[in-house]
Amino acid sequence: MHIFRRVDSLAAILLIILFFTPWLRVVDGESVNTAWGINVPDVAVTFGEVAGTPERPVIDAYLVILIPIFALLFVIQTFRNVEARGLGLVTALLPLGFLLLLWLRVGQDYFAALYVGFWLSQLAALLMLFALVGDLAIARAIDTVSTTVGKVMFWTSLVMVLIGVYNVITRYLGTRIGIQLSSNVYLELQTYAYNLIFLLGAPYVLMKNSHVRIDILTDRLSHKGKAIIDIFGAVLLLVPLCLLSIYFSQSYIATSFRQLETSPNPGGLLRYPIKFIIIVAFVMLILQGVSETIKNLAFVRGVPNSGSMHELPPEVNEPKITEQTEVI
Amino acid sequence: MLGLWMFAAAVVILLMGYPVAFSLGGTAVLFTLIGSDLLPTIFGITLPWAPEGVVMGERLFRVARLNALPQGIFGSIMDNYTLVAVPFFVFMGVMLEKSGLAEELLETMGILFGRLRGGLAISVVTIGALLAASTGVVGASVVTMGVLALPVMLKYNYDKGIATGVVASSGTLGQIIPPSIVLVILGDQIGVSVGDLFLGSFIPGFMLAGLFILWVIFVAFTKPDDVPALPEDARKVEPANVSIFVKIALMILSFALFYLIASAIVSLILPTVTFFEANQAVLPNTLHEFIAVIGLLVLYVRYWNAPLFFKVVSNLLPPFFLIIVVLATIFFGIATPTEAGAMGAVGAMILAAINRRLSLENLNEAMDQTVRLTSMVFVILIGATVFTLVFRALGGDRVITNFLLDLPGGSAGFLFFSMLIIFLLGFFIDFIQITFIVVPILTPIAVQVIGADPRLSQIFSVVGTSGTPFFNEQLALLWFGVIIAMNLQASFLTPPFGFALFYLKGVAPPSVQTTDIYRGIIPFIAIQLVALLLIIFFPQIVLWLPAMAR
Repeated sequence: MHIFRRVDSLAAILLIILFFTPWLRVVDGESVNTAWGINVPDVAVTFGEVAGTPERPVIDAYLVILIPIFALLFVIQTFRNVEARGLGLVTALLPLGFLLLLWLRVGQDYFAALYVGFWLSQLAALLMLFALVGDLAIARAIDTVSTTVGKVMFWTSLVMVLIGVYNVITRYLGTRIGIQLSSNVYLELQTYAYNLIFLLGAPYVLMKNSHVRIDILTDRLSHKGKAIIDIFGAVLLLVPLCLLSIYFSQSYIATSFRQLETSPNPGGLLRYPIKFIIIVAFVMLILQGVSETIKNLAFVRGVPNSGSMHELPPEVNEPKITEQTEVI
Repeated sequence: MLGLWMFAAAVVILLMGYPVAFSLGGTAVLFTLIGSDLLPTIFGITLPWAPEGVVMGERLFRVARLNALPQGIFGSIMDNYTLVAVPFFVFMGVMLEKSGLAEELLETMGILFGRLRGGLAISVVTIGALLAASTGVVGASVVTMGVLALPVMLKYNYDKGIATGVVASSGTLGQIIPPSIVLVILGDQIGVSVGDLFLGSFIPGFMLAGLFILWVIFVAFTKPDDVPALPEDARKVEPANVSIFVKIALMILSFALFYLIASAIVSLILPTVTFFEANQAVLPNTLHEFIAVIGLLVLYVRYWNAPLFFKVVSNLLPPFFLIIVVLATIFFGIATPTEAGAMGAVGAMILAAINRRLSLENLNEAMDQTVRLTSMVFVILIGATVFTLVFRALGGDRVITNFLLDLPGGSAGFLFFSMLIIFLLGFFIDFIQITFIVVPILTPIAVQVIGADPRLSQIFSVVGTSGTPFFNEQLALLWFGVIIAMNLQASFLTPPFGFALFYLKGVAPPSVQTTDIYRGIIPFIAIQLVALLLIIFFPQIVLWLPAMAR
C-alpha cells in the first residue's frame, strides 16, 4: 500500500486517530475531554478566566471538527493517487491555527488544561507540513524571514544613531535657549530601536553563527560532529528556553495588552507593542532553531547544499581591511 | 545543594560549544524541571526524588517565581537607558575601524618614532591606547592591530615574541580604557554610574599603557636587537599635496582641541570652576592659554610648508578630537554615556567621510556588526537572567555567599579569592558571561566585606553634611569594578585559553608560532598583574579623577 509509505498521508491518518484521543483535562475532576467534547467557555470558567462570553458563541471550538474531515479527504485523495497538496496544507495548518486561536483567546491557563492528545496532534500537523513542503524548503523560508528582519534591523541601528543625535542636540539647545525641545517620544524611540535590534536581530545572528560559543574543547571536532552538537543544542537547549520564556511571559504581556499599557513618562509611547516583541523574538528564535536543525540534519545525512553553517567554510568574523597598506 | 550542581552542569554544557546564551538558559530550564513544582502541579507527574509533590519541602521551589522573568527581561534589559550606549559604542568602533584610522596612525607614528630603538613598538602601544579610547571592542582591535602592525614589525626584524606581545596586549587595552563596552555592562550590573566608572578607569588604563611603553624602553636598552630602529629610507615622507582649506580647517580644529583640553585642565585644577564656566569664559581668558595659542600660531606659520607636520596633524587631530569630545562630555557631566555614544557614532561616520571611506559597503558592514554584537551581548543577558533566576530559586547564591563570607583573611582573603575566580573563569569564558553571572553574586558580598574592613572602609568614606565621614558603597563598588575590569583584561592574555591570543594567532603570518605568542605575552601579563596590585593597594589611583570631577 503506497499510502503508508508516504509521510504526509501517515501524518494525516495520525491526525484522524489523535482527534479521538483526550485533548483536555479538567484539573479538579477526573474527566478528560476529547476534541469532540471541547467547550471553551466551560474550561475558561473552570480556570477563572474571561474568554468567550455566553452571548458570543465560540465558533472556533467547533472548527476542530474540520481537522478529521480534511485529513480523511486527504487520505482518500492519496489513495486515489491524486495530488492534493492544497488540501494537505489546509489540514496541516488547521491544528496549528487552532492552537494560536486558543492561546489568543484564553492565554496561559489553557495550556495547563491541554492534554497529551492535543500536543501529539500538533506534532502530527508539523510533520505533515514538513513532508508536504519539503524540509529544506521550510528551512530556506525561515532563513529568508530571519535575513529580511535582520536587514531591517541594520537600518534600524542607523536610525537609532540619528535619533540619538537628535536627542542630544535638542536637549542641549533646549537648555541653552530655555525651551523644552526634547521629548520623551524620541528618547523612547531610541530605546525601542535598541530593543528591536537585539530581540529581532537574534535569529539573524543565530543563522550567521555569531552568537559567542565556548569552543575550546569542541574546536577539533569534525564539521559533522559540530553539526550534531548543534542539533542537540537546538532541541534540548534553545527551544526549551524559548518555550519556557514564552510560557512565563504570556500573562505579563497579555495584561499589558488588556490595559493597552502606555509608558508612564509624560508623552510616552505605547508599551504593549514592544512587550509583544519579546514573544515574537522567542517565536522567531524557535523557528530559526528548527531551520538550523533541519539544515544540520540534512548535512549529517550527507545531502549536498544543505545550507548548514558547518558545511560552508567557517565565516571569518573579522573586520576586512580593504587595503593592506605597506606601512612605512 | 542543587544550586551548586546547576553551576557545575552549566560549566559542562557551556564547554560543549553550543552558543552561550542558550546553553545558560537551557541549563536553567533543565533545573526548573528537576527542582521546581512545574511538573507536579501542571503536568501531574510525581518526581521520584520529591514524592511529596506539590507540598513545599526543602527540595522544590515554586515555579511561580519564574513569573518574575518577563519583568526581568523588560525592566532591567529592555527599558534600560544605560545599556542603549552599547550599540552606539559598537557602531562608533566599527565605523572608526572602517575609516582607515589605524592604518594612517601607524604610518604617521612609525615615521615619528621609527628612528628610536623600540619606536615602532611604542607607536603600536600608543595606537592601541588611542583605538581603545575610541572603540572598546576587544576582538576587533586585536585583529586590526594584528593585521596592520605585526607584518611591519616582523619585516623590520622585531623579535617575534615581543612583537606579538605588544600587539596582543595593546589590542586588549580597549577593555579598560573608556569608553569601553565592558565598562558600560559592568557599571550596569554593579550598579555604579557608568560615567564614574569611565572616570575611575581612565588613569588605570593609561597607566597600564604607560607601563607597557616603559617595558618596551627597558627591552630597548637590555636587548637592543629585539627592537631595532627603522632604517633611514623607511622613514621618508612624500610631500603631501595639502590644500590651503584643509590646512586652515586643521588649524581651527587644533585650536578647538587645545581649547577643550585647556578648559578641562583649568576646571580640574580649580575646583570652583566648572567645565562649563571655563568653556564659556572669553577666549583666551588666562595668560598661559594666551601664550599657548600664540605658540600654536607660530608653530603653524613656521611649518606651513612642511609635509611631515601636516601629515601628523591631519592624521592625529581628527581621531584625537573625537575621543576628547566623547570622553570630556561624559567626564564633565555634559552628556550621559548614551548621548556621548550617539555623538561618537556620528563623529566616526563624519571621520570616515573625510577619509573617503563612507561607502555603502562600509556602512552596511558597520550596521551588520552593530546588530550582531548588540544582539549577542543582550541575548546572553537574557539567558543569564533566566539562569540567575533559577539559580537563586534553588538557593545557590546563598551557598556561595556563605562560602565567601566564611573565607579566612577578611577583606584580603575575599579579594584574593574573588579575583582568582574571575581570573580563572576568564580563561574559559568571555567577559560578558562573567559580568552577567559572577559579578552580580560578588557585588553585595564585596560591599559587606569592604564595609567591615576598617582600613578600606575609611578609604571609601566621604564626609557627610554633619561633618562625620561615613562609608560610601558607591566608591567601594567603583574600585571593585575597575579591578574586575583590569583582572578580566589580564585573563584575556593568559595562555593557553586567552581570547586575544586566539584572535592574534588567527591573523598572524604563518611564520609566527603559537609558542612565540605564548613566550612574548608573559612579561605583559606580569605587567598587568603589577598594575592590578597597584590599583588594589592604592585605591586612590581609581578614586582621584572621579573625586576631582565631582
